[in-house]
Amino acid sequence: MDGMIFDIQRFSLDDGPGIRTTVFLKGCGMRCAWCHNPEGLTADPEIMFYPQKCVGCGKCFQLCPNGCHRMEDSSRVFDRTRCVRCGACAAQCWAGALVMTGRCVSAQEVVEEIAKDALFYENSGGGATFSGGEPLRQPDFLLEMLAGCKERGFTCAIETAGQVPWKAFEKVLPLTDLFLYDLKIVDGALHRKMTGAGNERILNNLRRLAGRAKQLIVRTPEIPGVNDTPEEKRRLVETLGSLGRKVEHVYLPYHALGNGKYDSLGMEKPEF
Amino acid sequence: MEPLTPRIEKLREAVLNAPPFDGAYVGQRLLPALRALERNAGAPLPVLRSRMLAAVISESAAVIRPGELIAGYNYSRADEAVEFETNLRRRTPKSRQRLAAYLEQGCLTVQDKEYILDALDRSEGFYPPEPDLPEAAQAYQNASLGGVVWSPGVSENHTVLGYEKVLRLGFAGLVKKIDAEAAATPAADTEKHTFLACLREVAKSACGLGRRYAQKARELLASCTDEQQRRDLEIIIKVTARVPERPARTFREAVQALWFAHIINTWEDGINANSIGRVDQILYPYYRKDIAAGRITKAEAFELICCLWLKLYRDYDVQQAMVGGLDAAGKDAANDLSYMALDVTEALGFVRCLSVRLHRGSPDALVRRALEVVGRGKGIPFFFNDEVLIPALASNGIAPRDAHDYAAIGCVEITIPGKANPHAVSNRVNLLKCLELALNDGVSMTSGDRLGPATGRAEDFTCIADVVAAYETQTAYFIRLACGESNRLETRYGRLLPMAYKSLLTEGCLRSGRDFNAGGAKYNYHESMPMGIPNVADSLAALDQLVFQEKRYTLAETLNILRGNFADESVRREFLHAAPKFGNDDDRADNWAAYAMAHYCRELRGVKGVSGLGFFAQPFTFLWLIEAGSMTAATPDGRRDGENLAYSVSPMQGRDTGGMTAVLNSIAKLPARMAAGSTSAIIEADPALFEPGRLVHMVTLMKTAVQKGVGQLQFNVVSAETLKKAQERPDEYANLAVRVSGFSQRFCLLDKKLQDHIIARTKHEKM
Repeated sequence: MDGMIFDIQRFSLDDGPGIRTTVFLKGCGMRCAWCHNPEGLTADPEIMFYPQKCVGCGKCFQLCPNGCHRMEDSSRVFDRTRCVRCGACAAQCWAGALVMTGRCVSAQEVVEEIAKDALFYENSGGGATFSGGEPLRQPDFLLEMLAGCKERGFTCAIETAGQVPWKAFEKVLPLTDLFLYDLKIVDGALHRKMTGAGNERILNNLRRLAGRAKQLIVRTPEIPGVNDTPEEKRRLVETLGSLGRKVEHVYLPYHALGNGKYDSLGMEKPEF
Repeated sequence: MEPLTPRIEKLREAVLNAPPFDGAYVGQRLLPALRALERNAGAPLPVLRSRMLAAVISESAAVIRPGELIAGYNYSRADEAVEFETNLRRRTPKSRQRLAAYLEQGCLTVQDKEYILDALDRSEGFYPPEPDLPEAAQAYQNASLGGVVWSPGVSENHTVLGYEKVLRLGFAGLVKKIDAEAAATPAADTEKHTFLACLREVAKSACGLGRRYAQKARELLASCTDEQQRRDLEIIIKVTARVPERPARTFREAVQALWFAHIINTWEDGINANSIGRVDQILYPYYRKDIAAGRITKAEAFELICCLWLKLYRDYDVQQAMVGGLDAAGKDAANDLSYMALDVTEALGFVRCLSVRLHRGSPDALVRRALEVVGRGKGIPFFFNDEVLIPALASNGIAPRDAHDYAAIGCVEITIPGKANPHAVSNRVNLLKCLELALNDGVSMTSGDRLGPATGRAEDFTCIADVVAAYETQTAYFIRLACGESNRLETRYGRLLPMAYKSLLTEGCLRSGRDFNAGGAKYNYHESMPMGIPNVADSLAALDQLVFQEKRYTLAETLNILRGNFADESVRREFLHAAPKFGNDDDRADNWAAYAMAHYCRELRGVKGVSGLGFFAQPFTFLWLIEAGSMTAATPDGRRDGENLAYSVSPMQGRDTGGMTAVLNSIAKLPARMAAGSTSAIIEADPALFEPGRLVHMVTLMKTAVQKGVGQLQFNVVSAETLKKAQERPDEYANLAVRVSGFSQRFCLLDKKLQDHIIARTKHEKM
């Protein structure tokens, strides 16, 4: 079956053991203020615009059915209010100023791409990692990719924030060697404020997963002024201690490398 | 890491601060050589040349610097190297001026300086003038001026000789071998007797080289009051009184003998790329014995290797050293000295050039240590893959028992030490220009001149196979032109440039009685360099996809676009981005690269050499990618008129966006086992990849690349940001080293175009 991804990154060294290929699935139910992959938030393709790459060929002016690309006061504008994300402009923009992010691909296609580095996985103890966005929002597509990887003997990791129905976990559990589980904030109210979603389901899923996952690593992005307070850290330690299983935990340092993407997507960068 | 001793710190400081010309060395090769030339006027050429070299060995200044443990200098900068060949290269008023200016920087007397200039003038016409060029050579010249082929033809200063023999037998032992050969040679064979006498002349003078240094040390000792220096000199006297005349017994004697053996080689035809070979294998027997007998500590051996490294470090030359790899029995040959070479390289913070041979069974520790040193940012060591190169050599006619012993010369060329004349820079063919000609009926798009055969108007081509057929005809034609010229030059230089010393230390010459340059080596072949394989691949992929499959443009339209040098930038971007590119693990482009390389190798095999094994493919561009690119029109890969070609078999700069595994997979698809001259690839890597936590992945990456059949690999570990800063403020980054085409050079000394080339290359580590 087909699914929606926004990137496949080979030679990943920071998404599980060994040398890995990371597949980024598009769409996420949370809206974390610090998100570094804003192109993974919506489930549909979007147009990223890099004005500095524009060579001024003017093709997009003709191609756009809604007149989104035009000149106003001798400057080039991209009026997103009328954009229906048809992608006609990006398909012909060879300068790379207009780029469609998000493409519909078959699970088999992705697995074939992953398989290109088979020998690197075998020699390094690596494999495939599914990230996002939230990969578990496309559970059937994910399952088919996992099955394809397992058939070829690759180990599989999933990076999830857990904000999905438990039945999604049920589906992928047997084929997943490692869960990299993001637990961003334990305080429910703060979690809702900073991510747009409550964390009850996330915590419940984590407890259930702790009893079932082959390997589980809990990760927390350490966001200055948000979840790096002593109280929050104490709550996190308590939560981890209550999982009924010794669980590895790591803090991921915050970085601002993704900030430029908000501009390219025409999105407001949330403050926090 | 072993710290440097105070002695080495001082020597290192001296090397780094050395002025570009050290006056003591100026003229030390020219003066004795020219005197010998004039003394022996009228003697047959081989005799004359061997006497010139013998005079340099016997008369040049013995220089011993304070603190040195290893004595001897290979004082022969490019100016002297060129002039040494006297009039093979035409002298001009300008070259005379340049030489005069060079001589001014030395410590020569006015008389000596004048003598050198006058003697060179007198030698005008010493060599017979170039005969009228045969028709094929004229076609070659036409093609060379047009930017398609270049055939320097010679093996000039690209050797690894059998230095091991000097350590094992001493030059006295080699004289005995010559005498035995002479005794077994019929008196009627006067040519061979003359040849043997030349070798004997050089070997005899080499016997005396150590004694001259011992004598110099005694003179210095007489007036030396420093206790440490006195001790140093006393040991130098003992060591040089023995080697290189007699066999080395200790590690120190072996290192000294190796250095003497090497500098004589560089005196014969210049330093440049004459290399020392598998240094860990050559020296290990002496090291092992000394360690076992308690005669030396590891720290002392480390200091001696430091001394050797400091000697090898001189500006503008690439004296390769090689460690690791398989032995004759197919076992891993890495030893203490392999690791020590890496330790010394790291501790000194520089080396002229060092390479590591790897195979499937290479110890992880060696790979790791080598990558740690790479991570220091100087791009050294390079990696060579035994799994590819040994079979490649064997399938090209090198006996397996010799193929296992290959070593690097200069940049990335390879040879069989002491057994081959590889003519490492024999010729090169601009394959992208061949494609340009295929699309333009054999006529250069840049000059309008007819360079190649008429292969039809591209407007009439109906499928990619038509393009390929024309490309093959053009390429085959130019390969024959390039190799024909190499053969012509081999015949000419074989007569004009006898090399007694190289013959002495190359198997086959003594027995056959033929000079190293006249086909005497056990293995005589030429290395032929196809340039622009990645560009040809990208161009064919673009034509296939955009013109013939998707029919976005007709071939006629495409040609107009190319002739107009992509007047419309968005169209150039279309050719750039709408078609697959080599280096992204995409078969649609990679298969064309494999095809272009295989085609070249197959064609080469069909070309006969003057003697021996013919031509080995060596996909390596060196810095000629600039010259070749400047003479090539815009091409369907989106490359503008005049832009550089891709470096060797690395993807075209900036076009590989799939990460390191992807680029390695692409390179591994090339038929490296057909290219017995070694391939070459540089991939650039973020320094973060070499941090301790990630190094384990780099070890795996490297070993997997070896397993997959990547032939040769170098890393360029720099950040673009640093390079840009260096470009703006060169003074602040004067020590910044970068890898440029298998050649270590400080970034700030490169020209702007090359700096831009490096900066533009893809960074494989995404942020």
